[in-house]
Order: sequence, then C-alpha cells, then structure tokens
Amino acid sequence: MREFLKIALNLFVISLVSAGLLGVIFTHTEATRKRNEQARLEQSMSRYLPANAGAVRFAAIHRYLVEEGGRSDIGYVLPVRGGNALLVLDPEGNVLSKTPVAGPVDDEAERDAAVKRALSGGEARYADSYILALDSSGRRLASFIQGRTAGFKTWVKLLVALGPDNAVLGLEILEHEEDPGLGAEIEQEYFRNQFAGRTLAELNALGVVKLPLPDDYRRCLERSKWAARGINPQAETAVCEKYAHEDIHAITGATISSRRVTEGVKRLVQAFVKRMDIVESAAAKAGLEPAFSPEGR
Amino acid sequence: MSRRLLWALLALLLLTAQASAAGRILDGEVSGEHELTLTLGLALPADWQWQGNVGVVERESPDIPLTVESARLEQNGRVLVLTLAEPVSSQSAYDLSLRPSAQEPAEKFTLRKGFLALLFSIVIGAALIQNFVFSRYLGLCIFFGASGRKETAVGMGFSFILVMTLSAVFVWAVYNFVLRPLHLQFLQVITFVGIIAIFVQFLDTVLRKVNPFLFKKLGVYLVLITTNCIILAVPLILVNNAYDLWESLALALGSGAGFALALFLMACVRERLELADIPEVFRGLPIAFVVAGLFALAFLGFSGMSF
Amino acid sequence: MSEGQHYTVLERLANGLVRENPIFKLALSMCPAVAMTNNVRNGFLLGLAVLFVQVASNVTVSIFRRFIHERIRIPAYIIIIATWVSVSDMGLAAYAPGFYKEIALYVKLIVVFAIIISRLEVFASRNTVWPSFWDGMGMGLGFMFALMFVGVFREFLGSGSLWGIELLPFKPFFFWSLPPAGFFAIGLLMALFLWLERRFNAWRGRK
Repeated sequence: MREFLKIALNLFVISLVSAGLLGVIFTHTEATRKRNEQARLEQSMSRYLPANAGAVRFAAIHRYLVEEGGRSDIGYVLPVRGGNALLVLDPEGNVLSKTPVAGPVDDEAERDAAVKRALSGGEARYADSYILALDSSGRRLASFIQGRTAGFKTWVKLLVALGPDNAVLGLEILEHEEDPGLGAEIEQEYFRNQFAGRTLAELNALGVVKLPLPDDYRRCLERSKWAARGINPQAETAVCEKYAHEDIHAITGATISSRRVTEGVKRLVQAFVKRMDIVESAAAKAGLEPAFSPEGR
Repeated sequence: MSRRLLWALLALLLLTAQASAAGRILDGEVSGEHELTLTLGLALPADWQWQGNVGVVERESPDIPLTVESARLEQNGRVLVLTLAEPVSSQSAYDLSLRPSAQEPAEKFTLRKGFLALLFSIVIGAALIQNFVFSRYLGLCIFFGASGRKETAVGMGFSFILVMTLSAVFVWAVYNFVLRPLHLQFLQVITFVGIIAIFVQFLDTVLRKVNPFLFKKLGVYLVLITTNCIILAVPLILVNNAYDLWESLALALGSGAGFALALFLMACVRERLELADIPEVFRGLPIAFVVAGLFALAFLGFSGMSF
Repeated sequence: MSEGQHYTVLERLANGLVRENPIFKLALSMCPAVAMTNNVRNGFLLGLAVLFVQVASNVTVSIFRRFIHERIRIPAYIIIIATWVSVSDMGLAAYAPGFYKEIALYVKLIVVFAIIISRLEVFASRNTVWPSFWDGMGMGLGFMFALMFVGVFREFLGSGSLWGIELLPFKPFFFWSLPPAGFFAIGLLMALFLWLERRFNAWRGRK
C-alpha cells in the first residue's frame, strides 16, 4: 500500500509540475500569438492599400448567424462610438435588436463569448468578417472580406481585397488543406493574381476555362518575381491587360479547386456589397453611430 | 442483452433522422450541380406558378436568396425539380419556402443531409477518402511493423479499432466537460496522451483478468498502440472540428477501420513479396515503402469524393 | 550501455546522424518523413521542433532519473515529452504563425514519435546530463537532416526549387511533389543508403 501511495504521489507531482509550467508558458505566449496573428493579417492587408495612404485605421465587422426557434437571422458585431455593438437583423434587413458588446472582439474565441453574453437567447455561429481600411477622414480606402468557401477537399479560408469601387484588388489564401502539387497551387501568385482588377460587373459573369495559361500572362502574374529581378512592374502590367478580362484559367490538374475558389470569391463579394448597404442603412435606423461611414458622406 | 441495446441504439438513430420531415414537403435532395429535387406529400396543381412562390436560401446566409431559374413538376405534381443559377452541394443545408397557392401561407422546409447520412459520410471519409495511412500518412511505424503477416495484421487491426473507438469517446467527454469549461485547452496534448496511456493500461489489466484468451491474442498489440500517431491524431481532429459524440464515434470507427484495412491490404502484398525476387538492397523496409506508395497513389483516386 | 561509460561529443553526434539515424537506419517515426517533406522548409521546422523536444526531454529525464519511480517510468516519460511538445507547439504558434499552420498537427504528434521515448528509455535514463544532451542533439539533428534530405530531393525534383526559391524555370519531375511520392522517396533513399553502406564496407574490407 505504501508503495502504491508513493508511486501515485510521484506521478501526481510530475503532472502537477508540468501543468504548472505549461500554464505559465501559455499565459506568456498566448498574448504574443494573438498580437502576431493580428499583425500578420494587417500586413497582408496593407499590401493592398495605396502607397500614399497615410494613417490607416481598420474597422472590423464580424458577421454571425443567429439561430433561434427554427428561424435564422444575421448578427453583426460593429465598431461604434465608445465600443462595439451587436446588431441583429432579419433576412430582409429589418432591425430586430441592438445591444452593446462588452469585451475584446479581435480574437475569435473571446468574441464568441462576448456575443453569447450580448445575445438574450438563441445560438450564434461565426460566419465571416469584413474589415474596412479607413483614412483619417473615415473614407473607405479598401475593404477586405475574410471568409471561407468549399474547396476540393475541405474548407478554403480566403481574404479578398476590394477597392473603394468594389473592384477586386487581390486574393490571399489564408488556410487550406488541398493536395500539395495539385489543389494547393491556389496559393500561387499565377492563380491568385488573375482575380486582381476585376470589377463587380466582370466578377458577376466570371467563369473558369480549362486552357493552358499563356506564358506571357504567367510571367506578368508572378509579381513577386519582378521585384526580385528588379523589373519595373509597369512594363509587365501592360501584358496583363490583354488577358485581364478573360475568364480564370484553371490550374492544371485542379480544375475543381479553381472553380470552387472562383465561385467562392464571386459569392463572397456579391454578398459583401449587398450586406454593406443593409448594415449601413440598418445602423442608421437603429440610431447607432458606426466607426465607418457610407461613401460620400 | 447487448443485442437489445444495439437495437435500441439503432432505433434512436433512425428516430432522430426522421424528426425534421413534416408537412407538404416530405423529402428533398441535391440532385445535380444546380438542381434540387423535392418530394411532395400533396400534389401541386399543374397550373401552379412557381414565380414568386418558391424561394431558396443557403442556411449559412439567409439574407442572400439564391436565384431560381426554373421549376418543373414531375409525376403528376408529386415531385418538384428546381434549377438554380448558383451551384449547390450536398454538403450544405438549404432553407426552402414554398407557397402552394396565393391563399395559403408559405411552407418552410430545411433540406440537409440526414443524421445517419452524415455519420456514414464521416465513417467513409475517415476510412477511405482520408485514410489515415494512405492519405494522411500517419501511424506508419505500427503500419510497417505489424503488416508482415496477415494474422498479425488482423489482430492489430481489431485491437486498434477497439482502443480507438473507446478512447475517442473518453477523450471527447473529458475535453467537452472538463477542459473546455475550465479554459484549459492548452493542456490538450498532455491530457489526451495521458488518457490514452491510462486507458490502454486499464484495458490491458482488465483483459488479462476477464478474458485471458482474448488477452493472449491481442495483448501484445495493446502496448504498441500507445505509440501510434493515429490514436492521438483522431482526438486532435475531432476537437478541431467541434464534433459531437456521435460524429466523434463515427470518426474513430472510420479511422480504426481504415487503419485495419490498410494493414490487411499491406500484409497480403508483403506475404507474397517474400517469395519474389527483389534486388537485395530493396528487401524488407525499402520495398514495403514503395508498395505503400503504390497504395497511396491508388487511394489518391478517392480524393475529393463526397457522400 | 552501462552508466559510467564515456561518450564523446563527436561520437554521440555521429551516432545520431549516421550510425543510428532515426529515419534511415532505425526507421522510427516515419510519418513526418513521408508527409512533411514535399519542401525543405517544412522538414527543417519540424526537425527543429523534434530536436528541441528530444534534447529537452533527454536533459529533464537524466536530471530527474533518480526521482522517477521505476514502475511508472513510461507514463512519467510521456508526461515529460508532452510538456515539452506543448511548449514548442505554443512557441511556434506565437512566434512563427505563418509556418506553423502547415505543420501544426505534426508538431502536436511529436508526443507519440517512437524515437523520442526510445532514446529516453535507452539512453537518458541511464546517463548523466551532459552525454544525454549530446545524445539528444545527435538524434534530433539526425532526424532533422534526414527530413531535410528527403525535402531537398523532393522539392528540387518536384518543383525545381529549394526553400521556396526557384532554381529551375520548369518542374523537372512533377510526380515528386505529389503527397504519395513521399513513400517512394523514402523507399528509394533507404535502398540507396543501404547500397552505399555495403559498397563502403566491402571497400574497407578489401583494404
């Protein structure tokens, strides 16, 4: 019996020490992890801002799906004067409720908890985020959609950058689990950059073609290589112009991944344009003062 | 006793699967890349106008209606086929509203994969499409170690399915009832490994006492299982995907079965390889790797399939 | 290997890198060698994590080996490994978030890599801190170099680049960057090393 107790105590002490150690390290690294992740996101967004933008402020709108008693509504976490607010709208865009959200909203887990507290009943599921880049006067310089779409295997998480006129500035693939060498090529510049410069009207009619990517087009799409070789981007952009209004060229061996991502970008952008109109008018109706203002005000 | 329990379990599963169907629309399914097919309990009149009387939204985005391009009635109005402009997939859920006539209120229906179908797709997904050995490349040490003989492969496969399923339930419970409520997610790895180690030890002791025959057959493999990547990968995956108990069970069962299948296939080939004339440097492990590579190429064919 | 036996630093490193190379010779912990070697960078990062965990666990076990009860030594080792794995997991997630995403699952799975626990059992539990440290270094570096070697082979042939830097304007042998090619790469390289070793031994025997 004494032997048993000794063994148990031994193991218990080992577990306790390691749990304590992990706790200490976790509290130290967790804050850094969040900060670095945010910095990484902001860095990839700042690539799409005009070079002379000056001081840029980011305002994030997080969309939740609120389900209660068989009906589903949309909840938006908006930055408003003096904090954040949860605005719940029905599918037609009528205001159902507005409540202040207490607590930080940048981290997904913390935000989920804060939304749950702000909601009187029902269940909220995170859907996607819209991040607006604003200049000092509150004008929109660019908008970013952080959402997901079905890929060939599982979900593909993307970041779509839009200009003030809602034309696509660029596409970033944040996370995916496609096959290396095949679907994983969606990460590559020669696929992603095909989206740059598409206007909203072009995007609506955008398709995918199974044609080999012309060599000169590929060269001009691979922008990071220009910089590495000291080539002036301007000269190459002219080549791109020739192809810029054609359909997306599918990746060899990954037509389905290409088609799903293209479809996803289309749907995300269309939904964003519609939802921003709804949110802006609904926020005004609800008497909220969002930290972003509609264009031209 | 155990058979009755099994029947009760099956009945429960079937009941939950049927719960969502009620009203005029009996059933619906995604029948094409742009097509939804609905089975109606009460026929719609032939002169029914679909414009304005039928609406489809994706459950994830109720505020963005999908564009219905055309609707046609088949089988005397008992079946309604909707063609949409947007692509639809059987992986997502859709909310439909249907108004039989101007006087009647619109009827709502949620088209989604049934509960059993969902579990089935998780099992098949883990066993074949995302087979742990041939598509995720996990559990290779045990895979190469235990696939020499068919007999060993079968023994290992069975003990693995058993341990995998039981420990997944255990891990699921501990994660959802202890770690998550207490915000101790950072202890994930250490707890999961601990639970699995304790569990294997426990099974070893119990089996030794209760069923010495089975212990003689499976006992050797139990200890080995602790160092198998899959046994830890499954808990991590089910936690990542926020699976519920049934889904976790399905994942564990599927991945266990997939591992057993891989072992058996490999053992069949390796028994024959012993008789083959292989260059000397390739004998043993190197040729086993090449064979596994051929299997993996074949399993690549399952990639991207969905049920 | 009894206690008191003397190991030199060089001997320990050579042991891990060549004589008992975890991947090519001991054939332990093959999962990452197949799955994470389609480019050099992933191999390097995962190898780094393994190196850290191996060294840290070796040192911890050799310090505390007198306190750990004989009967519970395996669970105790597992807890120690899991602790260091969690530490490296959190560290990578915080300081290298971009690279971490691709290898996240495998970093957590280092816990069950057979190579680590077998070194604790075979070496660290019977030796003092300093040899254990170098044994961990040797094994970790051997693991890292094996992963990187396969990574170089596959990345260069598969996509004509190394560490993401394009060296050739075309893809010489696209097949090698497909996931199943990992099996073929390991099988072929294993056979190659076996062949080289035989030739070397034969050559030495003749001399």
